[in-house]
Amino acid sequence: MSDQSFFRRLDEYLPDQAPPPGNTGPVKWLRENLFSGVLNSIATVVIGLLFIWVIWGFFDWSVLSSTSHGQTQQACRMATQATLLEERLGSLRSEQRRLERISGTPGSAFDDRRFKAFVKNLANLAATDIPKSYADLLKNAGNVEANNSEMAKFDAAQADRRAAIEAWISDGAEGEAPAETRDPKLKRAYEGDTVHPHAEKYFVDGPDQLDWAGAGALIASALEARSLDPAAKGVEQLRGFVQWGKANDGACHTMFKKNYWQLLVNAYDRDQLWRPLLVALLLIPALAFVMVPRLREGSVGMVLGLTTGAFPFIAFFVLSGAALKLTHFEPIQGSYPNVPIEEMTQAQYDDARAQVAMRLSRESGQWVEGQSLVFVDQWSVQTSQGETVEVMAPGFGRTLYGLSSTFNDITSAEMGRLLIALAALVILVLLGVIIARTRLGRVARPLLRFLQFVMGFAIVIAIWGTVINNPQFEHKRGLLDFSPHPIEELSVKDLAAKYGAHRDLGALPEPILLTAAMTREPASLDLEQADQDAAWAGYQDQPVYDMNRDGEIDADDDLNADDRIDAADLAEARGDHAPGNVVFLTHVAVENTWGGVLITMILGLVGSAFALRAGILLALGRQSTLPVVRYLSTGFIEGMRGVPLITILIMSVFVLPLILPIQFQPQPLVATLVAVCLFGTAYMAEVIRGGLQAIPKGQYEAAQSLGLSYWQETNLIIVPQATRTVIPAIVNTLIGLFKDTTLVIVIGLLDVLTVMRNKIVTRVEWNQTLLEGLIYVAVFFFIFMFGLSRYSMWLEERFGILKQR
Amino acid sequence: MTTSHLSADGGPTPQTGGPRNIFATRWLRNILVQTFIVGLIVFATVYFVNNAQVNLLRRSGNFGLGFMATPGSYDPSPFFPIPLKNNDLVFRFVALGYVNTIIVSLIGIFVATFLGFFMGLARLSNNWLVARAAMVYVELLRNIPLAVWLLFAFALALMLPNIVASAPISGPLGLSISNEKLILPALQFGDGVSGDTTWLKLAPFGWQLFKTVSLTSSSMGEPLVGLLVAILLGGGAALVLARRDDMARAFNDREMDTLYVWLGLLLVSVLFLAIFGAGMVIGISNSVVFAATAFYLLVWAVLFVAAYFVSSRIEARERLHNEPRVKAIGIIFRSAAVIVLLIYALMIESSIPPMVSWTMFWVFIIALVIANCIATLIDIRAEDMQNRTGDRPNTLLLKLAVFVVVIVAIFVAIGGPIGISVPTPNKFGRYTAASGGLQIVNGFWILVVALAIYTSAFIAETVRAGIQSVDKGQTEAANSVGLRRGQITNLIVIPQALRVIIPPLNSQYMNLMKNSSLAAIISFPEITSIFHGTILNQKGHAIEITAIIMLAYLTNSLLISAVMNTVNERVKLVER
Repeated sequence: MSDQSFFRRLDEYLPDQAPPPGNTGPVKWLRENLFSGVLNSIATVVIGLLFIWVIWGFFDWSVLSSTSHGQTQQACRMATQATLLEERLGSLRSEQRRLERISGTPGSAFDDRRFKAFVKNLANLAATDIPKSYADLLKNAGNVEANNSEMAKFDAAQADRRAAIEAWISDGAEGEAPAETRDPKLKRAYEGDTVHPHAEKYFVDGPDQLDWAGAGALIASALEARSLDPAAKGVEQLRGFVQWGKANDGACHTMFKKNYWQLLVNAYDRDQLWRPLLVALLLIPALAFVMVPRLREGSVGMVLGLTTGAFPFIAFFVLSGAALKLTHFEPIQGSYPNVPIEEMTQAQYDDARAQVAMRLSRESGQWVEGQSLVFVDQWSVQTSQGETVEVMAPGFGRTLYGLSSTFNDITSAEMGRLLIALAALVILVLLGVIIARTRLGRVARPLLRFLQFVMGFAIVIAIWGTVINNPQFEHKRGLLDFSPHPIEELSVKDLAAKYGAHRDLGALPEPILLTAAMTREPASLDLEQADQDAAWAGYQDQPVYDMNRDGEIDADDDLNADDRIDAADLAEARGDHAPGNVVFLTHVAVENTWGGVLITMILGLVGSAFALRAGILLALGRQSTLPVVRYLSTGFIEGMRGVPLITILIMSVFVLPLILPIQFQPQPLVATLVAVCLFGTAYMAEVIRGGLQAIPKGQYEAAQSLGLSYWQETNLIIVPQATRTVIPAIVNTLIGLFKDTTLVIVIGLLDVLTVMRNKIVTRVEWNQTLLEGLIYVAVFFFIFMFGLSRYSMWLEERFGILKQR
Repeated sequence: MTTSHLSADGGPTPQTGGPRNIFATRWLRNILVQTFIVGLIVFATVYFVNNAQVNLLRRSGNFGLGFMATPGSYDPSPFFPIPLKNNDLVFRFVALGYVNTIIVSLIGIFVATFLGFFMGLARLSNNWLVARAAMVYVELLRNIPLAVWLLFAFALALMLPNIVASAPISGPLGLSISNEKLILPALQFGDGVSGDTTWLKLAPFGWQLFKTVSLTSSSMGEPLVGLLVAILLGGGAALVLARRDDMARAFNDREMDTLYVWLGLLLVSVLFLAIFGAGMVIGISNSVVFAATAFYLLVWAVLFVAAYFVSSRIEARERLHNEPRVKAIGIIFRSAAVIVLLIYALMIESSIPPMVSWTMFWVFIIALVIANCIATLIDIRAEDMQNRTGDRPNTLLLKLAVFVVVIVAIFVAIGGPIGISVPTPNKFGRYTAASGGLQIVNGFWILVVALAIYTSAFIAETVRAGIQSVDKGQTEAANSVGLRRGQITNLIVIPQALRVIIPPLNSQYMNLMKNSSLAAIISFPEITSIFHGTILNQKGHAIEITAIIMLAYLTNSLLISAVMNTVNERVKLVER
């Protein structure tokens, strides 16, 4: 019995003891992964602290103190305002200098409206911002109760001042109130100024010379004297703010408050938004074809394949601005496009006629001084010589219109090009059918696909040639062609005569840029003057058009109206005092006014679509037995891979226009596309060559023993296996290509990075927010590229490439 | 590999009956196809050239390199203190840009390699946090374009204290950094005469063996022309001669094509620059200087080529007979060749103000040669011992010591004047016009740091892949043999991983070098930014300028490839 007690039943065993707390759960994990040794522990602590530091820093920077990097939000805002003010003052000064030169007397009066806008800006600064600072003031003072009465007083003073200023401005707008009645009002507003007692404390480490009362008085006297110098002194008083703000890193950075989404589409030209959207829509079938294998079969596959093949060209065509401009299929009738000729008043008719004449001379040189114009119908006018001239707005609609109504207008060359385009389209479709339906198509697919691309290019080039050869499209030629096209050479008297009736150049349908006002003779070339004019226009490199449309440059509309270049000023500036001068007006290519992520996508997608196909051919060429083919392919690949993309971009943008005939001058976008395609092809070819080399020799031998021809063998046996093997490398190359598209910043194409840097951040109200913009761009790229790389990893797993090893 | 399906002998394929098709004859077909392609290319070339002529006429432009010898206008804001005047010849600006490209690339490659290896190892760390941190590092850098990083670094650098408005952040010995430039104290060899320099006399008791001879730059001819051509010639010669013996082994038939293409490209670039140089000689007034330069060039090139040729011959012989003594001679010759190139490169820089006293430099070179010879002798002895006992002594520390001792000894012997040039602000306390020291524009270090960090992410991935490719059995075997962890890493894993790492490393280095062209967006005077940003605007000549830029990068790529291929030869698995 007793020996039985040696045995125990199962439930009598001692229960398993819990492992020591250090060996289970998170503690175990911590011990194993983070603190497995002295060195490891130190590394963990250091890296952990680093992480915390970085993440907290970023959080603080981006959220907690996101409105002001400087000491206070208010100071930051004021610094921005003061910067703006300085700029306006500069603009006013150059304006004054210009007027002085014209009139020959120093200190002459300047444009009232302009000056008022300046003053209003001052008023904004003086009257708006200080009350806003009250909450901060209180915080600093720490004594709410005691300050209440002072605050109320101060508030009232500010309100008075603001009212006075606004009254003055509205007086001025009505225009004719005599100086002595309106200016003292303003002066009084400043004289009564009381700076809040705590303000000085508040700005204790601010500029010591900050003197609101003094600045106000100076500005008031500036108004009295109608002179800029005292005003400048006033601004000088305020400059302390600017410097103080800057010294404290004081620009506002408002990471989550700016509309960086603008990068996604377009910073500027909101009318053109439909283009990228249409392209994005077109992307869907193209991507579906690439991504979903099942969709590649049958007639659906054929259609989708065609879409994929044609996508780059359609996209380019849509995006380049000239195509599908049917929305602009309207006649130019001055600024009265919606008024039929019969219902026009005489003034409207004259105005319209003047504009038509302007356009005629600009576009076709058919206008001669002294001609009279008679409208035949909405689309054409008859000159006094009996010629009938179409005056339709430039655009593809012009060509279509010409096609449909008057074949006589089309030159034989144009016709030929259109025929070529038609033929190429037919061939493209046929190739698609062959690929989808025939044995040859299965066998020689890469070659045929490549031919499809060539045909697509042919279509684009042919139609583009038609478009660009038309004198109406002169201005659409290369943006980067630095030789100024004298699209319009009018004497200023003509300009004034024809154009003066309609004062705003900015109201023209096309964006106009006053690049420089130059004289014809080099001897009398007045570059300084040209510079000043550009400065006066406010924007050296930007279309006036955009400036007007943009509500964000300044909140009030008066100012925008004033900033326009008007022909009367132009005439004043040069016509009367410098007879014989010639004004060059250059148009900005439409292409330049849109951009953003979509251009990045277009470049990357077109580049990869082309590179994938041409890369296969090139890789095969490099493996060929024909020495010429082999050496050429090798030379191309090595040459392309040996130089940076930037040089290739430069080459295509600067050299391509040189080596192509004048009819086929490529736009910068086209040139860039060519460069990206060629560059991507070389890299892709190397990747695919790797795949080709990885295929065992037995595959070739087996294929030959089956009696397959070279192309059969290549397309049915070798290439499918080769591409499958190197899918991760292909995706990596595509990622590289996408990232490399940012390099178009060098040639000024507005991709997402360039839009951010050149168009958004440089504007005043985005003052110094470059870092935020960069972070947005970085996040955008990271999401896309990281997603792509994960996708490639997934593909890798799916095709079992990892398991093969 | 693909050759087998087409018979290379050009024999006709078997006919299956029917009319005789001309395209069924393979050799004829091949010839026809190739003729067609050649014809197409000739036609395209003629067409493009014709268009270019027409277009140039229309724009009243002219073609040619004459513009390179005309004065340009550029403020180089130099990192590399090559004295350039504001209206110096265009060519000298370009040379400055090229030198800057090379310097940026070299430093970038150096830093990126270390950082990349470190990060690659960190990604494989046992420590979870370290591995994740390395992963974040790599993924962040890899998935965001370099242009964004560059602009980011640039924006950060702009936030540094303003050099004009406020005092820059400054440290000891005149070190300072501001939003414009980084100013460092610099080490100088010299005679202790130069004004701004604080001299540290290392050996106050030494003998003044050599008189200081200062050569003026005029006697050296146009130095920068020389540097360019020397690099090209030297690189080309090195590639051709040093590789010849290895070619049969190193390249299989296919890759020979690659090599021929490279050599062709190199030849073209050398010829291009040679012709261009001749044009310079003709086109410039002080042709005597150019003739002198050409003569110097010739002499140095011949010396270099000869030394390298001899060394490669000797090494080939050594490989046949396995004679360590012969190998020693080979090594000495090879080091002489490298030193010759080095001398030349630095001689070319002799126009740099008083950084280097010429005599000192020669002394330094002699010290190097002596140390190298002694080190070689040590190697020979080690090899003898290995042959006798099968056990090779560790000579690394010994050789290092020899180098240090010899160089220091010679320095001490001649009086050891080495100085630290301390930058000083001008008399108004401004750092904008500081004198002395090494003054580096911010663009330079931004570019170097951004390039190095960016490339290090890719190198880290390469390193990780390489290490992971080493079979786990290797580590286990090493463990069971009883090696320690450090030994396993150093002796087993890394050598095997290197075989996988080196080839992609080559393309990463090339990428870094090519990416240095992004300096154009932060306006650092590197060859692309000088050419494209400045000279193209001033002078036009797009075709010529693009060609020169491309050739410069191509040459650099080829040189990097040549070096890396040599390294690859050393580490790659010797197969049966």
